[in-house]
Amino acid sequence: MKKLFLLISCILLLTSFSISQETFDFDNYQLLKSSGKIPEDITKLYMEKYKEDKSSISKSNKRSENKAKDEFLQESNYYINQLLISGKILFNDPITKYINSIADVILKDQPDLRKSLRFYTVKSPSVNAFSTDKGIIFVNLGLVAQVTSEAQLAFVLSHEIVHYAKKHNMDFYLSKKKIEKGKTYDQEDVDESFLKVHHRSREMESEADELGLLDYYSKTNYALTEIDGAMDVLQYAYLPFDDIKFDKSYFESPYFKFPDNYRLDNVTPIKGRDDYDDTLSTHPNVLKRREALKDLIKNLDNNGKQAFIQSKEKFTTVKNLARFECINQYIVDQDYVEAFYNSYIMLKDFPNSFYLHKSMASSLYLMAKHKIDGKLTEVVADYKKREGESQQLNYLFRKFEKKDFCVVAIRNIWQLYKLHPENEYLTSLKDDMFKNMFNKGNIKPKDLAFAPRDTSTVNLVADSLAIEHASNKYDRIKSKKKTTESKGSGNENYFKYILVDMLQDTAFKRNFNNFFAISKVTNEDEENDDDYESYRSYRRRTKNTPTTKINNILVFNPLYFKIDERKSDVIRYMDSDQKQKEYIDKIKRITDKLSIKTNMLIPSEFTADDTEIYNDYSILKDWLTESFNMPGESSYILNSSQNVSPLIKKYNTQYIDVSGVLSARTHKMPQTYTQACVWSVYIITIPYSIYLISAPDYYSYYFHTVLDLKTGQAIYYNNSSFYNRDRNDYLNSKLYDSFNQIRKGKNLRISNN
Amino acid sequence: MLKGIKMEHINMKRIIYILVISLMISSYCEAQVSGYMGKRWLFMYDINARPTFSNPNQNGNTGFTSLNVKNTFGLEFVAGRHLQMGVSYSYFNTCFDFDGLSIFTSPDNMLSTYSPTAIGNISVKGVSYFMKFFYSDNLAPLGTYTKIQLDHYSWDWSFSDVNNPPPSGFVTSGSKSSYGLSLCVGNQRIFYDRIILNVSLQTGYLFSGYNHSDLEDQYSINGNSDRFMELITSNRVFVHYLWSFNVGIGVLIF
Repeated sequence: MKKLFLLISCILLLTSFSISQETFDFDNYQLLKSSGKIPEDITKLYMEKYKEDKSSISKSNKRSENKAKDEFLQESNYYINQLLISGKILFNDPITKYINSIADVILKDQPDLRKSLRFYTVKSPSVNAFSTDKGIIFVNLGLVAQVTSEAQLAFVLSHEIVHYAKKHNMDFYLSKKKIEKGKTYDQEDVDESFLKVHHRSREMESEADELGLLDYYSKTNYALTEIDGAMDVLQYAYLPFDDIKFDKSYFESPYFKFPDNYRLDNVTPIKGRDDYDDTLSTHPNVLKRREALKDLIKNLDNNGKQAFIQSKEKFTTVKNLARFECINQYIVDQDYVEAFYNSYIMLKDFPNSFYLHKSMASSLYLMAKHKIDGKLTEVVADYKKREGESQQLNYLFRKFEKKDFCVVAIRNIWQLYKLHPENEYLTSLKDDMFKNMFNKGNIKPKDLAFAPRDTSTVNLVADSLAIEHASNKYDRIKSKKKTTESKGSGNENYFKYILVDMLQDTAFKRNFNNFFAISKVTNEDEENDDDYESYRSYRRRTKNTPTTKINNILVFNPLYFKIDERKSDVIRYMDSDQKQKEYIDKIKRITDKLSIKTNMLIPSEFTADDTEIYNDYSILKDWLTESFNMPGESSYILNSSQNVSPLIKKYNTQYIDVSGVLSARTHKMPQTYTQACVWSVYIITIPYSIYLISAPDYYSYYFHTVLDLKTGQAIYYNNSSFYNRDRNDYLNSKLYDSFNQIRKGKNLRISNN
Repeated sequence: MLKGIKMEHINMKRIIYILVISLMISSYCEAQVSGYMGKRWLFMYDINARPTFSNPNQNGNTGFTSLNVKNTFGLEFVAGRHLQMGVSYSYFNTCFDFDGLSIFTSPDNMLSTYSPTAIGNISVKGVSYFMKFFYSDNLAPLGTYTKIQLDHYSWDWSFSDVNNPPPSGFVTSGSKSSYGLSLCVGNQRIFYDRIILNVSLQTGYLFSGYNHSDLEDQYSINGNSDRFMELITSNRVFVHYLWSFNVGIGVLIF
């Protein structure tokens, strides 16, 4: 018996030791993946969850209250389920494990409550955490990335636990319904009920702060002084991980510098107001929360309490993991400045991180491509809206011309490529940027100098030494003047010397010349092409293009929404879920009929052991998000494509199928009345015209696209809408036709890459 | 009227050429036709109905609620993503009536007045070739379409009046044929992946035409009952053809 006890103790010790000693290679960072069994929260179907919850809620005597409760269960289960199956959730990964370990500390004396709670990490960079009445607490990566201690995270978790324990979500929903029921259509009443709803929400938040502190947090060994830090995190949540100076010299070389007007003399100081007007906010302002908590803390004992119960190193590792993950998410969400600046910040601690350098190169590449396509303003916010040092970057990127962006991107990509020439992703970035430089960036070799202006400009270090050691004021002035002129500072010639140093590199020069030669041929071909190609010209061009027949495809979780536009709550949750299942069955039947091999990535069909597929699904979800965010027809090399390459080999296909349906019951449409008038001219068809007027109107939208995982381009798309219900025959017809076109390679826009 | 008959011969050839060429072009362009779940051949049965108004139907009833009914059997083929074409055979029986008229009786060639107390019967048979063009967001054979149809109708008529037999020399039976062109707007739905339902509104023009003034001239001048009855029945078929409401059911064969 003793031996057995010893053995178990040793195993437990070793396990905990291995978790605490888990090391991560941040230099060659790989994105986090979920592990272990998929939790039931994800695998369980929406309808089952809803029915289970419905049977467990207490029934009231009031019919309206029961109805509101039922609506709440339908709605909340639907949205929670959508989030759980979105691929944005991490489970059993180091961050989620860490969050769970903090929850274990908070609830060590309340095992039943602990057992009923499940914590998941959401792959979102926004600073947030939220709780559900089902006992699921979601913590965003952004929050973990921004807190400065374990205790701060513990306070946020305590706050969320109160929301669950007090069933705040249901309470809020019922209060909201009650308030809305009492309102009239008078604008004053509407405004008042709106304010009442928000007031109720703020009350609940204050209660969660108070009880979170008194019932949970204060009973642990976490330092009370850290709560103020948690409030700081909320106050400055909109800022990057840090506020360090960024200078445009980062992009410059000894041979050129950007004009001085490419930088702001002063950045807007960080205001981070905590006393903002919260009348229309769901949360009280930070000042009120901070003061209320301070009052409570006064009466509590902080002796012996700590910011870290687990090791600080472990916290730092988890925080860095969250930060690295956030950087990836920023790129997925097209927040390239944030990705670039945060990578720049993280380089202080991880100067050799290939991941960070690659993220910066990727951000620059994607911004340059957006600039070329005239879409930069969609991804780089106006610098006036920013505060702190990161404002410099927004200003600089907005200031960059197309050619500036191209050159900055190619410089950055090339320097990294030289260190990792085997990296396929960097190679494709480099090639594409070279192509764009000459084609759309309007850079011509004649605009560039291939050698430094004179020998004196080569060594600017020597120049600066000369300034320092000048014997008198006049010599110093002369030296400074000489250096300034040689750098091209503040004049229009800066661009001429922008690639001088790179062009000294034979490999770079060879690439430069090759791609320029290719661009000349391409430009001649495209000389007469308009921006918008006519259908006739497209047919002519693609007449002899070989078609690719697709017999193997990944089918990504199809979307299906049933909505009723006449109601305030437009989504019909249960119908949407049911119809989605039927739609998936249709896809299976049709692809079987057409002998198309499919790999279905559908969360509602995952079993507990499908974690590997879940991770693939999650990677593809990021890829699709990034892909759909990209503008128009241009080809972009997506940052997520690095993670997708192994999946192409694994599933033996480079094509992914994404489709969906939106079916809406609408308000009566004018054309219905016109039709009814037409049919009423004949006595026999009068009943039909009556039917037209009395029956509800419907509108359905069907979309189907196939994307090439290698190029990121949509090679097939079919968007169609019809003034009808989402009837089986219509959907069968559309789906069969789409898959038939895909299988036969008809109407496919196949890239030649 | 003669003009109309001439036009019939001249235009028909051209129309047939156009139809054949369009069929060839559409088959060429639409190589990847899906049909409905891969099924492209349909067998259809349609009932075309229109109120009799003042003309009697096959039961002799007239009025707004009495119907003239035509039965149509068709074989259809999905030739393009938005194109369906086919051939059909149709038949219907109906009746015709006419007012009293003056007629030269043979052999004495005397002008006498005849007032019928009965109605005549017409039996119409037709073959048609048609094309259904489905609207852009509808894939054949499903959804809303416009149909263009070329018809050839032939009809036999007979007349007998037991109570007041027509004078001798009065022609009591005959036959006639004519081409026609019709346009139709309709909608097709499919159930259980096989059963197809069709609802449409059709309007058409029969090249035999409709002429009331000629009718009067023929009798007051020539007393030619053959011509008279031909025009009476042609007009009757023309009116039936003018427009109708159609309901059909069919099956997707393969």
